[in-house]
Amino acid sequence: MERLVALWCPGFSNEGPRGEEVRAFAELLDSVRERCPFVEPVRRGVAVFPARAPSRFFGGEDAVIAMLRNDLGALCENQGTALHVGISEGLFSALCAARRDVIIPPGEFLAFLRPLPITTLRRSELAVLCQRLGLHTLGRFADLPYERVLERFGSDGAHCHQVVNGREGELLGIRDPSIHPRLRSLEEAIPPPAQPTFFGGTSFADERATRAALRLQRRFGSASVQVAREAYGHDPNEQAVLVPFGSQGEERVTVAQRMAPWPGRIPSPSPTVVLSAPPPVCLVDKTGTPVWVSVDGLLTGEPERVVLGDKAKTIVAWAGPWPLATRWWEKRRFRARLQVLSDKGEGALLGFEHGQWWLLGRYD
Amino acid sequence: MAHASSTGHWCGVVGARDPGVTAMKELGLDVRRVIFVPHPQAGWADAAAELLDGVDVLLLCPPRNVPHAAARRLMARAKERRSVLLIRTVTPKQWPIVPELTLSLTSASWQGVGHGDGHLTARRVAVTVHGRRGASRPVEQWLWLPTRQGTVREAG
Repeated sequence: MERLVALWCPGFSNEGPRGEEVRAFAELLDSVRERCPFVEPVRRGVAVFPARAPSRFFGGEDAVIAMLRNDLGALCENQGTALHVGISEGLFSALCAARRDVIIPPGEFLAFLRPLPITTLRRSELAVLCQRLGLHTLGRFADLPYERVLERFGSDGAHCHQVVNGREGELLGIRDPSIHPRLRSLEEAIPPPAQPTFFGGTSFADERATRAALRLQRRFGSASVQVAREAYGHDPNEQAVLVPFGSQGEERVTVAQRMAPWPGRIPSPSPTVVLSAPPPVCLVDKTGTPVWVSVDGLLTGEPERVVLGDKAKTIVAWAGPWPLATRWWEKRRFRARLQVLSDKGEGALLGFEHGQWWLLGRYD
Repeated sequence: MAHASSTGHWCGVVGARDPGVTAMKELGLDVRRVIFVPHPQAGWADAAAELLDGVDVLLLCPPRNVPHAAARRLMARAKERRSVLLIRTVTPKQWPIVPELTLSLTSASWQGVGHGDGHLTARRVAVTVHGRRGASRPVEQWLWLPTRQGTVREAG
């Protein structure tokens, strides 16, 4: 895979009302182009060019970086932006390298990517799903078998898998093609296009709600204002996830994925409270003996009480257990779901995995 | 809320931890038009006020102690904006100002589960509606909430 030099100026990532950032970015590109004719803009504030020829010409990759900093230092300082440069194979790892101002030695980019957080892929749903499965880094995600990733995470997830395994160099979503007409418009003095909107065609209501959400985000932080995104999974907590309002770079879910019946899905109605951090609970029979799910998929006793911390509820009825497909990368994990009804008429959804019961949701 | 969101109106939900989004979808909500602020902490009243500017229906799950001034301010803002303010509390006294309508769930029984067989299918509930004016008598209605599909329907 080709080694690329990636430049990133965070101060040029967003366009202000007067378009100064784009003009400065255009100036930066012009400056780089004098040295490296194959430089291309990737998105606002980000540019790349192949490392090989300049490296040979200027006497090594370190020399190329030194030259860039020398050339662009004054421009970036005047514009009040930092300049980050990195070199690695493929656009994705080159950008990751730029973020950290490092040159990754040839052949070591996979090892470099491994410890990076799963959020580096800029896909909220995939990250949430992976984090729930205990896969917090790109490396752990990369270790999954490809076929299963395709099945579980869809084609975009499979693409991400290819990227973190070095089989594809460019992560979809990094490039923002609108930078090209925008830069061209500078030459032709055409006004910049209108701000992209969240819905296809906006109504007044959409804009009003968006403005309120953005104001809330400025005040409370972007993570605290959320919208729902569909996801796919057995559990209600996997079927829809809450992501920050306005998160970009969401994978486009194909119609086929939407329609596919998900095996082992718990029948409707769904729980009204779906715990994002399921607490462990104990299920016991009337003698106080813990009740498990045997390998045959049956309960080892009749559940009489469910205990959460120091609180216990008496169970009068239950349904299940429904076994779910074992996670294929953890060989002996058995998973099951159980609905329970308390003597006060409260319904709950319990999950059995890792040899333990968990409270997954409530039917309030 | 289901009707509002499916006809292009936006809804907000403040203070509901771990909302069951799939359940909301089954009830008919278009969750593409719902803004959630699940953990507003001490800023719950401000978050609610801010959202009332942007949505037509707001569901607020306030904490235990609601200052009278905060309640008054929110109800006034909802009225001024012609938005619907829904307040979900554990007890009626949790909200210090009597609202136009109070709906209470007074009875609930699930169907469908036995001793390992079946699954939770539907819940029959009694909902009592009180009006603000003292003269009106409370009305009780039996509903399926949820039905087998997760919707709401009158029960016999």
